Amino acid sequence: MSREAESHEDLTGLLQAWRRGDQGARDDLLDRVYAHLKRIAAAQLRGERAGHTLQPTALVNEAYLRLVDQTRVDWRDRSHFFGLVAATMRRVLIDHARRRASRKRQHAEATPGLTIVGTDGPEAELMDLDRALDRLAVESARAASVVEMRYFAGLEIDEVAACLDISPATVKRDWDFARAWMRVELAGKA
Amino acid sequence: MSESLRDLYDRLIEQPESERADFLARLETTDDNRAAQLRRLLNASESTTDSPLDRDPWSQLPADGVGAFDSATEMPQQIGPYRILSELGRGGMGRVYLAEQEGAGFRRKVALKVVAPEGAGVAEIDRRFRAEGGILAGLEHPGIARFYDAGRAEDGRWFLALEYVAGTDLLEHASDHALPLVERVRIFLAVLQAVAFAHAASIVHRDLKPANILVGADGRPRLLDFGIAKLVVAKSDVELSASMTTITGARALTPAYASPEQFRGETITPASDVFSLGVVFYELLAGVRPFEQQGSRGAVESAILGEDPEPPSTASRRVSTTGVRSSPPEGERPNAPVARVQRMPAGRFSRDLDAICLKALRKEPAERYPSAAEFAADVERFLTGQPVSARGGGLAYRAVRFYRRQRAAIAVAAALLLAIAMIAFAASARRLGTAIPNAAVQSDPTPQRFPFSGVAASEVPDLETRFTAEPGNVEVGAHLALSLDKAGRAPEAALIVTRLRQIPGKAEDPLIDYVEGMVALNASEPQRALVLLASAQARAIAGGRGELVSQIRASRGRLLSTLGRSSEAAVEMEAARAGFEASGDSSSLARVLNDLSIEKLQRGDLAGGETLLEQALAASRASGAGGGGVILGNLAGIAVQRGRPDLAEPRYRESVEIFREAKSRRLGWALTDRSETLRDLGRTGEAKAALDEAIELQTASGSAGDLALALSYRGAAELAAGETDRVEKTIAAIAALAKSSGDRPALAFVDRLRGGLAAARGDFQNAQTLLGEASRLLRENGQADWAAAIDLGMAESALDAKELALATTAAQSALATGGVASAEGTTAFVATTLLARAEIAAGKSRAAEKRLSGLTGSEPEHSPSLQRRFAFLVARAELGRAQGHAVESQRDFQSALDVAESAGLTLRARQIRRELALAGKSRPQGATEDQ
Repeated sequence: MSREAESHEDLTGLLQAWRRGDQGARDDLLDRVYAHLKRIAAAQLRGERAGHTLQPTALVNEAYLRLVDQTRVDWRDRSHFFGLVAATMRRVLIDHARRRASRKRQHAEATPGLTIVGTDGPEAELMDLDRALDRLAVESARAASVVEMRYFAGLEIDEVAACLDISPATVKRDWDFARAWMRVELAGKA
Repeated sequence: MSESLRDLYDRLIEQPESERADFLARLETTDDNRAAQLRRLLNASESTTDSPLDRDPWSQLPADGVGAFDSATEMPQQIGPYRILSELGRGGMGRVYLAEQEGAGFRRKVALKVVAPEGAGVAEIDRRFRAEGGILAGLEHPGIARFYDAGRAEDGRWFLALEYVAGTDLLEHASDHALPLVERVRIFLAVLQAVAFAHAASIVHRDLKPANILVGADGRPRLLDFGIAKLVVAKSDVELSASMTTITGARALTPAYASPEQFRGETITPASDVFSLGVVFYELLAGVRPFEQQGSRGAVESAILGEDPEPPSTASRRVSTTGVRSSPPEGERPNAPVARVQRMPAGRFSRDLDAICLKALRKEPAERYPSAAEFAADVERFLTGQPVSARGGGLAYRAVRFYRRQRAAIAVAAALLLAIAMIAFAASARRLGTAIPNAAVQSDPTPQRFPFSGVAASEVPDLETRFTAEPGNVEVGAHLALSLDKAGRAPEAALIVTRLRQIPGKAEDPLIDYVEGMVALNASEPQRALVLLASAQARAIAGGRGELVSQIRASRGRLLSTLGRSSEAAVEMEAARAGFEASGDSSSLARVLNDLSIEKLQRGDLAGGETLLEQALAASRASGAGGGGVILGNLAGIAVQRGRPDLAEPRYRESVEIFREAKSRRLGWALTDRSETLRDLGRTGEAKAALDEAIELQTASGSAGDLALALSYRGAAELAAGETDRVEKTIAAIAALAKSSGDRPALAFVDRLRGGLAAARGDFQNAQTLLGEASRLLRENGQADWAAAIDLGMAESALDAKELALATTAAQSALATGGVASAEGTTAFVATTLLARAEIAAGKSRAAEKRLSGLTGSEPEHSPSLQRRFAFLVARAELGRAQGHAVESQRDFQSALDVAESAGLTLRARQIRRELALAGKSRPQGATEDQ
């Protein structure tokens, strides 16, 4: 109880500090949110049967409601938070994929006679996409943010627009661009 | 720097298609590299195949755990000390193998579970396995599969070694053997007893489901995986709840059988197992699960959190006629074939099972059986034909069961009248319990912005004009819909809601959800209202509309509260309160404080409720909007409950004045309540005048429920005064109202007054049946505190008939009702005096004396409340007589007689006079006062 309440306090404070421009607060926030999201997302990923997928938007909302004291923040904090969480969701998923891939390898190495599963499979695809997204960020940081929010955090066009403070039309164009970009970058791999 | 690729792409896309080739060609001349990139992007954007971004990243990775790195066919030879024989199955936690362990001089088969425990690291998991495993290994019961060992194999895999049980799961077993209903109940009782054993050792299963309940060849059930969920998922409930959020659903639990608190990520207790067992029991009886009709996880979750299941007997009848059954969630065993489920018969048999099952399935853990032991005890009572506690409320039921078992000769009652007590209780309870949650605190004549606390039917024409002029104005439309609804024009209100939804860009406006929710609420569709308000809340939060969020939470809290979901209600209302405090909205604050106080009062916390009401009154006065009448009325109600009608009366008077001034429809209520307080003060004439005015007002307003209540008070007064003919007339009037309006309390009032008449005639059996029915109706309608007052009447009439056991049961039922009528309340006071009288009659004077002395501290013989004074004096008089203190006894009877006469309680007075006459006759010659 007290632990939960404490982190509630801290996170709200950090969120406000970050909005005032404190980049250290942002990193702190990221770490906290990451730990939290990782725990709930990992539990979800591990336990879900095929066909029942995690709802990232719900996860983000839940994280927000759980971690942030809403009586002390306004809607701009919320947008910031969502943007932050989108990046975090990406990290959670990619770390997860990376860990799985490495476990596959370890297991294959430790088991003589077992066919090495290799580097294909969904883990590898996700890691490829992650790298392609890094390259996209070089081309357009904003388009990469849009991908994080739409693809990893499941936000809608309007929500992304609010978080990034741009028009929905711009988000739409960024998204179209990113979709095309990924087709080109990952052609033949997927 | 040259233009970015991103910008170039935009410019390219903006070109008409015919000119794009030219655009690229021009670019090629300056930057052929970029042109090539752009060309590829353009081609890709025109592709009809999916982009990698069109997939859901979260569903791409297959389920984790051991399966992730085991190939489908691979089966290890050996894990730790166990030799693997075959695979038994796979589940959410991992794989299960049949394995063999060979030790010094023994060889045993075990079920070996290979798991991927959650945890910070090897050391932590190891520690947890040692600690928890030790506890589980100590759990020895014939109905629970043994836990042998937990550990880590050389290859790093974690395993659990459990007793291998051969058998079929409970539901399959029941359907394979076409077990009759009673056999199903018996076998389930054995399951409960095994779980109760573990609960007694503070071990919670956490994942009870049919697949974990196997029935062996001997027909006895065995439970698998006890406590394993905790072992695998996390070391403590704190962590468990952190990982088990609503959204993630927690992997370790099986959704169809998980309790609401497991979904909500709250603390897991034995009551969580009780819920899961309730689902299994339901399915065993009815052939379908109580919640989901569709198998999707989200649907199950929202059903478990939000829906009240229909009774299993109803479901069973529906299933057997239509063949509808729930579809199994993926990966789970399908439901028992419907054809094999016996249709539950109508009648008491099923009603008992329904009650037991639904009690186990309550949303609030505190309302369920606290652990499997109590659940088992009730099932056992059912099997042995005793009254089950799950139906504790209905006295009609108890009386019938009672008679069935006792078959005792029923004494014909002497003349009696019903407890005067019940009259005033009903008054205050009405106020506190039901009236307020549907009513706004303020009666503010000026139209406001949201939440439209002053919505009035009279505003409709004005708002219609405005909405016609501004059809895009959601606020005006919302206000109009609420006003229409208030004017009883619900279909038009619904139409306005539809039109609001069609306003471009407003389809998801939380205000519209809110209005639709309120309309649904008034149409008695609370579940739908709850969903709409939840949606409104989510959208308001997402839209950053903080001013709406508090209002919605307040409304939602109020609704949850009326649905009896107290802890959720309190959370919402506290949040709303904080919001209003922050925004300085005192009139909304007053309202939510009033609602919060009702929550407290319903839990019997009069002092806490009073504090909140004082704050509400202050906020209401600070808002300067006038009003506060309801809050004053509630404060008065608390005073009534404390036996202080003298303090209540001025508050009622003030609230009457406020309502009169505001021409509020609540004036009728306030007058009704005030009349009962006046009666309790012995100011009979004023009481009658106030009640007459109330009846006149309620007749004019056409509110059947309110009129029925006021009439029932009149009937009770007439009954007490022995005016039988008038009572008959009043009953006829209430019966007509009940018939035309379908108001359930009105039906109960009819039964209650008829029961009173029967009692006055000495027809004890009819009196009991009618009063019991009234009590049951009220309890079923959620008015437990009114029912408690009727229980008191029943106890009194049973005492008069010398039916001591039933008198005790009835008085205890009133005492156990809790809520507004709890501990310090007058209901409890009178119930205590009645229990003492039953003890006196049974020759247990000492016990009675002790019981009464618990009351003496507050000088009950001088209580300002006439009904308390009367109840106490009669009890003490009877005690004195039993103990041979003739003089004191006579004096107390005489004082009681004075009270009865001054209050116009003719029947009671007559009865006491008879007692006094008897005492005079039987008084031994020469007997004097005790030394």
